[in-house]
Amino acid sequence: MAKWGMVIDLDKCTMCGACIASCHIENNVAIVGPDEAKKNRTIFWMDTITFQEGEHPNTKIKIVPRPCMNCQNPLCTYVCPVNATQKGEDGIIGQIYPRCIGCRYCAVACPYTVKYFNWYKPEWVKKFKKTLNPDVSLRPRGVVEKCTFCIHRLQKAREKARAEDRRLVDGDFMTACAESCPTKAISFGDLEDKSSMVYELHNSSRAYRIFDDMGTEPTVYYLTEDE
Amino acid sequence: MKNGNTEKIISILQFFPIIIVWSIALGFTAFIIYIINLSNALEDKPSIAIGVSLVAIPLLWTMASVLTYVFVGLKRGRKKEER
Amino acid sequence: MKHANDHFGEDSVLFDPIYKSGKMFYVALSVFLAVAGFAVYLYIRQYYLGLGVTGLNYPVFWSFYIVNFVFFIGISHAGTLISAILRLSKAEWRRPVTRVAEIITVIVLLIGAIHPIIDMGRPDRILNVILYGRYQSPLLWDMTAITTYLMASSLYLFLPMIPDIAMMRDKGTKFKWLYTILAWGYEGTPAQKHVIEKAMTIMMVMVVPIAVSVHTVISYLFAMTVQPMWHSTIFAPYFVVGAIFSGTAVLLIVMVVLRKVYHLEAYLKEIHFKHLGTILLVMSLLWGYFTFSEYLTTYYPQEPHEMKVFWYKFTGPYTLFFWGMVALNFVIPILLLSFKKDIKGIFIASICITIGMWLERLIIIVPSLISTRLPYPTGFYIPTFTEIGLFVGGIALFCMGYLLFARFFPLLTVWEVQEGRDHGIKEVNDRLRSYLPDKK
Repeated sequence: MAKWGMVIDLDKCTMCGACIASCHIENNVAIVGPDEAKKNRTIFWMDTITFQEGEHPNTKIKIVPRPCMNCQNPLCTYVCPVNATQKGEDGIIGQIYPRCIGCRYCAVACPYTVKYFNWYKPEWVKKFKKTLNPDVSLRPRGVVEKCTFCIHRLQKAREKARAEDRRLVDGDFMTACAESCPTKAISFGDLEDKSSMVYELHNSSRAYRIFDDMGTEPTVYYLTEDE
Repeated sequence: MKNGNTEKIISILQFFPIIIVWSIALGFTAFIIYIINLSNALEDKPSIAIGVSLVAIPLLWTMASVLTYVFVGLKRGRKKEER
Repeated sequence: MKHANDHFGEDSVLFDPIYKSGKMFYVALSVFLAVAGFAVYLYIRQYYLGLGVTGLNYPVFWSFYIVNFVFFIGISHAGTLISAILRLSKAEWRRPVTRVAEIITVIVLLIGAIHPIIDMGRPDRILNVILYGRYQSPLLWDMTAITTYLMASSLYLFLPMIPDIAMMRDKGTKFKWLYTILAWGYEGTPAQKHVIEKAMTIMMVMVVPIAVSVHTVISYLFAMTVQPMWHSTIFAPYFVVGAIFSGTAVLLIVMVVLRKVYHLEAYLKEIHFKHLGTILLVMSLLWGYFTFSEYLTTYYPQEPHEMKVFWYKFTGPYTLFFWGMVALNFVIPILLLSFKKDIKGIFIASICITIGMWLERLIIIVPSLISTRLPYPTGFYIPTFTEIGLFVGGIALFCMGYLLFARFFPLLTVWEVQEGRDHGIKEVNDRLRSYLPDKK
């Protein structure tokens, strides 16, 4: 069984924001208006967090892209009362939009705060409506959503591999953010496949995970020289 | 005749709370059993559901029984001469 | 002057709200109905537009509704728990207090139980909880505990009411058909009395652990997550103490109001307030003790995520609420209850505590959500009109429930008062004698 994971090289990241934009387009993430954005209601499946280190004159800014951590010990799935968020067979935490009752308990329980809620019915301007991705379902009002590691691409890649009568190989399944990263800072693949790039990267001495000591076992690794 | 009829209606209506209490108790029992089966089928963890059921079901059944006991006791304890 | 209900004898004033309700009843009822109706309108609007009409936003996924949920369920601990403990400990002054408290429990539980549904993004999918329910979620523990508690407290309200209902069936002039049904053929024979007493004893014993379990489980809603300052082992007893504390305060407020409105000065005497005031004082000290240990254990190890929330409460945007809570729950009540222990002082202290305990829930829930573990820009939360309107609607619903209850049933346990008058004095005499060394 594959264990999908992401490795983000922070030393390569230029903070261009291509991952955020490609994620929005790939996953039909709703674009809320300026009024809602002022109320902190924007949805970012892929977001960036800014760490500030040191006091004023000697500050050092560190910017970290943040998808869903896809924990192997996912706290969000424990608290869901209706099984609407659960770990799938591939170890990817999925959201079942038609079942979600919108209690937002998973959003509250997530230590990384990666879950977002549809406060109003998501709407798109005409131009965007034409470019909606047919592979990803549109979320209704009142449900929780989050990054799914582009699981629809996994399904497609698997079908394709089956049609060609071969096994999935490294690079068949790529998330939109990994694909669009111009500096190749984001790499994605099977953490248990010894021939894959992420296997090598996540075992490097530069690798770390956010809140590794909390026992959530995230599958998103970060690479950085300093720390 | 008319008197007998009203008495019948009254005793049916008096029985109503008993029905409600028992349907809550039995309904909850059925629900918890269903949930335990469901979590087994989904390979979730049924242990918590079993734990809750061990506390909740006896409590609900005891309460329903207490109410039934009062109902029967009051009926039996009536003055004899009325018969 | 001849009253319509003189045949109830000495205690006829207790039946006044039922048989002699004037214009004021309808005026009050329509006011409460209007407020509650407006709240229903606000909710329907929210149902169609989505939760966007509230002030909730990205890190603050829970706030006003969940605060109210904990607040209302907390108040419900007043009733049944206090009444059961007083009855079990044979506190003789309980007699006029018990039912006043039990009614609060049932009404407030019903209101509190609606709140998780109000808070849901998709209330139309409520059946999913039954179809796909998972007992791993503390939300389902809440559901179970509240159902059990509602059933227990309804039974516990109903059983001691049977003799009073029978009294109204036999002597009253109104709604005879209703009382005939509800009295279950009670005639006051020794066998029947014995049945009710026995059933009540079972319920008394059962109600106490159930009531404690309800707020324990509600605290688990927060304590089971790893959010800073929620993930705390002290939460269950802290919530239970807070619940009894706020419940007693609301009970005292209700008692003062009932005393004024229904002229119950002869029954709800100053001594009852003083005794309950002592309970309130003890609970206030206990609450202060829990709060102190909760915050000291957070402060001492200086864990950064917890400290972020801690300073947010102590000196950040929630300073006013935090120190307001400390003043309203601890400083003012303790001063008032120690030095000015009359009805007026107790009433003011109770109002302070009710507000303070609402703030306590806000202080627990919102700052932990605003200060996320990862350094996102700090969130904010400002409630909207809808949320405040629904809270006011909940209070109006409570008043309306009480008013309607008073219209049909006596607010004090009449038979218990009569029993106290007829047998209690002798019984207490005998009991006291049995405590003392035997005469030679």
